[in-house]
Amino acid sequence: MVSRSRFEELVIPHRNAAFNLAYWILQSRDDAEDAVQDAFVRAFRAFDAFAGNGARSWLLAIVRNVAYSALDARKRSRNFVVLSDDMRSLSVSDLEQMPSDDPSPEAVVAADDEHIRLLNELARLPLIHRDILVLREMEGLSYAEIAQITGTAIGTIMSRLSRARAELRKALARQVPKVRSDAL
Amino acid sequence: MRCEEARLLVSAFVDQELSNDEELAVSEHIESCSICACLAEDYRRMGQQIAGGYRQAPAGLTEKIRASVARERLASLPSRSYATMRRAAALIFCMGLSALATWYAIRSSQERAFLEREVLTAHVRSLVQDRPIQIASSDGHTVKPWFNGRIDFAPTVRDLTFAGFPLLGGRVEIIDGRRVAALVYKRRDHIINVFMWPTAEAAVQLARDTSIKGYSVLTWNGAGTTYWAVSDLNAGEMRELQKLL
Repeated sequence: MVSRSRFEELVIPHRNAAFNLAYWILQSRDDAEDAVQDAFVRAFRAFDAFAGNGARSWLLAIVRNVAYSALDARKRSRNFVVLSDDMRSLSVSDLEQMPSDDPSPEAVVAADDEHIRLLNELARLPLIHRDILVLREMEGLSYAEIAQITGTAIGTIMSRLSRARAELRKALARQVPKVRSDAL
Repeated sequence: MRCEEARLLVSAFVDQELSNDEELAVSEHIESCSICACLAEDYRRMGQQIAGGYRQAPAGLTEKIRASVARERLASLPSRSYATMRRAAALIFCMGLSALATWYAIRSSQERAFLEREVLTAHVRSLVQDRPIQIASSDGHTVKPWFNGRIDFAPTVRDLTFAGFPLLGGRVEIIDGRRVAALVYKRRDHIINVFMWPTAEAAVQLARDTSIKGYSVLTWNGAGTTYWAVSDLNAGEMRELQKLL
């Protein structure tokens, strides 16, 4: 029998992690909300079989699967790559709406062009690189935990993260002259 | 460590996921390589900026999650209890069946043992009395009407003299509290009592014989009648009589 209070205590607290991951995979707040609710329902169904350790990783693995399925379904139903959602560029106001862990005035000021550019480039990264960067940098998970969530080997996570960072850095370097030329 | 080699490890170095040896090697390389030092620095800054893109769950999401889970819980309850009840019902059914079978086995064996004692006693009593016959006749047509009014059924009465079992006559016996017909046959010098009464058991029960205190007891069912034959004959001759009746 599923204990509702135990579920409430162990799993519900990770709703922010769940939403953040779903958001960065689906890049739509509405779709992310739907995926998170779906994932929690699945988690509740499977809660009997859950060992009780690492609730966050366990939940995030479910969220990731649900979000990937939702993405597939969305692509199938529209039958083309969704530019408006997937490639939607962030604006400064968008970023300011984003509650962060340290919403100090300095952080808001620091939400400058460079930051926005980086997040836009992150949004453009291939999904396979994007979700592990989110798990690593936003959730601070270890390679072992990321490997568990994504169902891959730790060595694979290590090389993928290295490539993801190199790619992101390259994209940012490529953009700098362009932004400067725009400014001129 | 060569620069190309180190460059691939900077990412894991920043994450502190390298083995001690590797970490030391990369750390030493970065001291002397500005390109790799710059790379590590960029990766750290990028990490902080990515962390700044954290999206908190909307305020109402927790309640939506609780509602979805509650719906799921309700949806799962009937099916869960249905499955449990089905299992319980199956279990109870099996237990009931087993209890019935046990009860039936015990009862039928008890009943059999009881009837065995009853017919044996009646047989022995009839011999002790030296008057085992109330109506003495070797004619079935005389013996059968004699039972009218004495018992509540009409027994089949056959003289079996032709087969070596001459009919001596009949009497009324009380077996298990009811009046039954007892036919007395003779085989050489042996007296055979055949007790019979109607039975509700339609199925023909296989004959069973037992030997108690030197007496042969044979019982069988046939044509709505239960037969119990008792004598000091051997089992083979008892079977012979059974076939004739």
